[in-house]
Amino acid sequence: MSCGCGRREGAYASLTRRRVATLAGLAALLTLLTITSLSVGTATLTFASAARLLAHLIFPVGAPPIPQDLMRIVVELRLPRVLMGVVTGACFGVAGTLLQSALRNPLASPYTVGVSASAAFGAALAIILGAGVVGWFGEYFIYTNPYAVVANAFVFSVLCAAMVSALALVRGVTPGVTILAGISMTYLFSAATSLLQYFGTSQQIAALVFWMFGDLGKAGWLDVEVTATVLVTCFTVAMLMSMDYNTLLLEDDVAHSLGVNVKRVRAATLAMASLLTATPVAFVGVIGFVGLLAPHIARFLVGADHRYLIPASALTGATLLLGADTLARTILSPLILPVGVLTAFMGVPLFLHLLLKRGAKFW
Amino acid sequence: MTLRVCGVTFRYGSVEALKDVTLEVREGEVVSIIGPNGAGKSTLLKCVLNLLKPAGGAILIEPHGNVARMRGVERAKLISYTPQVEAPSAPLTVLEFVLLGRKPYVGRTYGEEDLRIAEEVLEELGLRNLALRRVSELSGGEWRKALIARALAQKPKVLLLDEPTNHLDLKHQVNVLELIRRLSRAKKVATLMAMHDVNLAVRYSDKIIALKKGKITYCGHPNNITANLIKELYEVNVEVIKGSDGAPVIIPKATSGTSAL
Repeated sequence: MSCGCGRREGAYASLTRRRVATLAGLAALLTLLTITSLSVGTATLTFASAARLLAHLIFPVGAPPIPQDLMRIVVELRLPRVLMGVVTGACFGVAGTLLQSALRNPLASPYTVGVSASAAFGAALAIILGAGVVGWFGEYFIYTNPYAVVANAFVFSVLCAAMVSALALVRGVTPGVTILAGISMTYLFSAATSLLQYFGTSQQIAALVFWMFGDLGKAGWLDVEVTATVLVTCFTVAMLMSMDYNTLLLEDDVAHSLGVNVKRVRAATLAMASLLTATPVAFVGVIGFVGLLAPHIARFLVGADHRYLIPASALTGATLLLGADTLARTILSPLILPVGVLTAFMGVPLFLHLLLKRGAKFW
Repeated sequence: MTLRVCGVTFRYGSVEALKDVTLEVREGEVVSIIGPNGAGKSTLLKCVLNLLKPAGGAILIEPHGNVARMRGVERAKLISYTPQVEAPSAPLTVLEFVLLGRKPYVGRTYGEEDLRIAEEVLEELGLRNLALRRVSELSGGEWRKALIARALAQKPKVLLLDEPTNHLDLKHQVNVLELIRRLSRAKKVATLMAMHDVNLAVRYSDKIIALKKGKITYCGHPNNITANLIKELYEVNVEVIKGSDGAPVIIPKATSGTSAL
């Protein structure tokens, strides 16, 4: 008996080891991709010097490994874009996982709470009417200070997520109600955006469409810092709650019988997912599919235990988005494609492949 | 250790689902609640679990105290619950699924002790070879056992089971109920379960509680079940005969006017 137990404990330990190894592999992949992404562009670096540059930025000892002017291009233009890709992808990955688990629905994504449509509405309000919560500075200000659009998009997406959460909480936070509330808010805000577009000039509409495409090139250092702060905070809280998320894989009643306050976990999830989505969307626009796809790939790789699934989703999301953006920058260089288009082009075939491979047992 | 349900009343809005329900389950005892659909069987289990808050009365686990006043984790160390689940959906291996039963005892990770307990339970239920199989790949009988394994890993004093034999074939019905009876005795657990199959309930329970429209109409030894009692409860004509072991067997009779077809 005791030796039998030992064998099985070994099995669990090897399961854990495999998961940790997978996480390490994902982290290594993301690091390689980050260096590659830093090296490509109109001013090309070799992979080795990009790696040395990154090392120099993290441990600033000795002389910079590349010429001063090239260094400025990379650090001020390329690096924020690359890091924004990493941070945004991680945000979407974590938000997607938390929502899929808390709502117990494989179709949930960061946009399930209506963030994409409401952010677009906020941006439209700023771009077309020059109005909204921070739009009273007038049109001139908006065109010269993109942060008016950013703040508007953020405020409206948080507002929408708060309304969805409130609706869900009033009705007892059942997953179905939350998803329906999110869908109806999406319709409401889409209709409002269409109405605004109807009255906009063609330049304004073009500006709005460009905003809605989702583009990491808009990101500056401040955007990266703000988004990274949100990511680190929510990630830490989510990891502290990972065991609670594990019990939500069972029925609500069973999670309750295991001592978990299901309502509280769900409310916390809605709040975190809203922040994790609204923040990057406000800065870089709507980038689809990463938040739906990354959790599924991560679950495929490490299983459903949230102690591994949450970090795996963050790494997968970051890798997917950064990979798509690197392609978007290079595939038709010097033309830069909107990354949102690429994520869908790359993601859908991959997703369908996984679905066909795992079939009914996917979720 | 005794589970005591004292004068519990519960309302869904204005509908009284439980009226002054009083019963007790002692350790090692298996008690079945029978009654027609909507009689309040599941509601009663959920009240014991404090998932539904009774409008009146109290649920006590002696000597631990009143369930309504316990913190969630404290309650989870005493009461485990297995709902009516038709098919497994969680993307987990059997071992991980069973380990979830250790949730009330752990912080952010499982310890040696938790793995050992999960291990023991899997062994006891004959699931050890399936430990690394995904729950979605289990057969109906295996899944039911996995559910019970998770409940036992919680090391409960009170085991609540809602329709533990639902969707099982005859062999697995018998199998699962024998298991429940054996484990209840061995682990000194008070088991309260809702049952649809009256014959199985009678055969594997120490006590039968008949519930109709939220009220207890019978509470006692299974051998004292009469045709009249069942007729009153389900509004069906039955014949009760004694099996070779003395336990009653309930046979439904065709309603007059309808053919045997």
